[in-house]
Amino acid sequence: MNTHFLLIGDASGRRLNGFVECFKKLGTSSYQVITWQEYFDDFLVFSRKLRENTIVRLEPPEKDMEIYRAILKLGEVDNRLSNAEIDDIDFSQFPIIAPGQWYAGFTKLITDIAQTCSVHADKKILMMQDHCEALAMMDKRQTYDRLAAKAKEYSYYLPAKLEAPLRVKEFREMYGGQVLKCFIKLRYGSGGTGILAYKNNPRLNEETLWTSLKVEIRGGKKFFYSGRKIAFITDKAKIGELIEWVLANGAHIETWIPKAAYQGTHFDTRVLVAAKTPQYFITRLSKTPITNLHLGNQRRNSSEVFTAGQLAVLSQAAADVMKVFNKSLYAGIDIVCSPGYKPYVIDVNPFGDLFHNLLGTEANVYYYEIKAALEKMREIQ
Amino acid sequence: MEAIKFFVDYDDEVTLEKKLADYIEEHVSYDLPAITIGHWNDAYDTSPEPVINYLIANKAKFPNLKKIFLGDIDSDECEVSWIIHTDAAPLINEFALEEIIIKGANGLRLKNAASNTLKELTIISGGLASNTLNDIAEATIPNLEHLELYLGVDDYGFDGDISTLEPFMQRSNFPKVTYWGLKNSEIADEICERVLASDILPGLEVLDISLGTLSNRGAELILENMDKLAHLKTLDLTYNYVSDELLEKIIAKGSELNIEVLCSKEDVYNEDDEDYRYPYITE
Ligand SMILES: Nc1ncnc2c1ncn2[C@@H]1O[C@H](COP(=O)(O)OP(=O)(O)OP(=O)(O)O)[C@@H](O)[C@H]1O
Repeated sequence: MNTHFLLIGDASGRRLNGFVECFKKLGTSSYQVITWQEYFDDFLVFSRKLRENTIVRLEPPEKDMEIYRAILKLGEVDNRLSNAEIDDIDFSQFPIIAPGQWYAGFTKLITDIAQTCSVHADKKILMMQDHCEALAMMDKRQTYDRLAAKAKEYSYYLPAKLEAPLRVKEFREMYGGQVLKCFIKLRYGSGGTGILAYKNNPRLNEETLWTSLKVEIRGGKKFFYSGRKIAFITDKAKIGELIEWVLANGAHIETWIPKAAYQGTHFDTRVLVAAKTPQYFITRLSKTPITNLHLGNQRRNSSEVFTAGQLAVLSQAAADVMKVFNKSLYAGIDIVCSPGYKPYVIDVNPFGDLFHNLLGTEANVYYYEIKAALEKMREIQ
Repeated sequence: MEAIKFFVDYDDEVTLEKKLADYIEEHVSYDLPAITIGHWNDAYDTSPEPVINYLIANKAKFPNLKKIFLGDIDSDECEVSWIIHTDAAPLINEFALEEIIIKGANGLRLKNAASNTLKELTIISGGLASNTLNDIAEATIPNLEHLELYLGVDDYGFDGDISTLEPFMQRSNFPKVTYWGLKNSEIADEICERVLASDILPGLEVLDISLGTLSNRGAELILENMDKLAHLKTLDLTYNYVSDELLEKIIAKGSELNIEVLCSKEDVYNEDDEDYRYPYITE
């Protein structure tokens, strides 16, 4: 039976275009694309394009500020920004605005799409992502809690979770008296946004942060945004200001896992698991505690960095994470290996399948995803 | 020298002395010439005293030990300036060591250290305290050939000044030293000035003033006194705050005199800001 694909994504996004490239190479003629821009102009476009035997694929909106505005408007949270306020936001420098409200809006958006799919269930519709699990993965708190609930059964390790207060004053009251190394993370952040690598040693009166988070005052208002460089901050007032913002916007705090080093440089590894099988390992080397690719750090082939035995341990840990998110076809799992190579899971990304260096090559992970989705489709047909 | 590294991994419950004991139980003795002691539990809070005690109490089980690295701890496991130490002299006194490297210096002492075998002593730290420096100055280590001390900054424990370093300028205290490094210092210029006038200088092969805040002031003195350094094999100024122009002159003069001059500034973070000059290792 002929299967169709229906993609929703950013018109100019690399993700969407990467996927379309794959279809072209595979000679799959039967695909349609809806851009988020089109969707927000007329959301009925989705149900109109939903034919029989369709696999639906969602690509998250990238840096399109009008789409960001539209999603913010969908979000219902306490103290929400009004539509008028949202229209007024100056996005010229890409500030991070109301991530909690954005997440609520995105949840609404995705849930609506999933609902439309289930209304048309008789047409045999498969969503490539399980939207509930994808949404859970986009919230670091939920991700952590789901993994923690199963940690005893599986082979991965987790950092310890620390209670996250709402204000920095409380934070310092709670933790200021002890030696502490932790990551304070924006609960709904991704791509290194709102990540604070925090250290405190009261004996030395030393409090420091590594982060790409920056604050700027414009028109008397504070704007927070992700800088391109990772800065080392020692000024207590500055540190307080950044922590305060992350806490206020919803934080997940966990202990800092010391990273194993390769030729003297620390690293973590992203494992892409598709169809329950680890497919790709990319090791990210960094001189700072934050290794995310796009912030200008190096990456290495994991076979250079790990022995076969260590890779097997890493694979098992990643495969076990997917048992917790067992409805998802794929995810990108970030793993920090301790100096003794214990695999600590520190993040699960529903859209972690984009490896820029693989785009346009045969090794592109999208092929695996397409294959896996087609297999699953056969099951329901 | 071939060594095994013993360390406690993150979240491991077992202690490092237990790991050593397990090894001995399995192998009867530790026969390699060198041993590396890595991260021990809560190194930011607890000294390696139990480890040292274990090694001393089981001395006979380490029959060939010539080298110890105490505190081979990565910054991610515990910052060098956070590592807590204790009196490590017993290791020097009880084993016939030829080399000891210690990383971290909080609470580190080397009280009454005495050894005829010890040839190399290295302490890597973000701040070396006066009492530790005094212990080294007063130690009976007549055969020491390699002295390498990372002095660090006052924020992290260097509470001395140039006068504290006076004993290290005197040949009579270290008759056989050929590698002399008072490095990673925030008073590198002063050290430079003093060592150029010292009587320890003539017998050296390597003069190591690297990783500190050496500036044009110290570098000009070096250039003026290059003839006094003619006997050196290596002049190590790696990581410095010296102008390229001056460095080139030193290199040129060095090659005339057949001295290898190391002076890369690769890791210098903020070269141009005179108010924020730090040695390489602090925190
Ligand atoms: N608990 C931890 N211990 C040590 N390093 C950590 C920890 N948590 C995060 N990191 C490091 O911080 C960086 C960002 O972490 P994380 O993956 O949680 O952020 P993110 O914003 O979700 O990034 P991405 O979307 O790329 O996954 C990574 O380089 C990771 O190695």
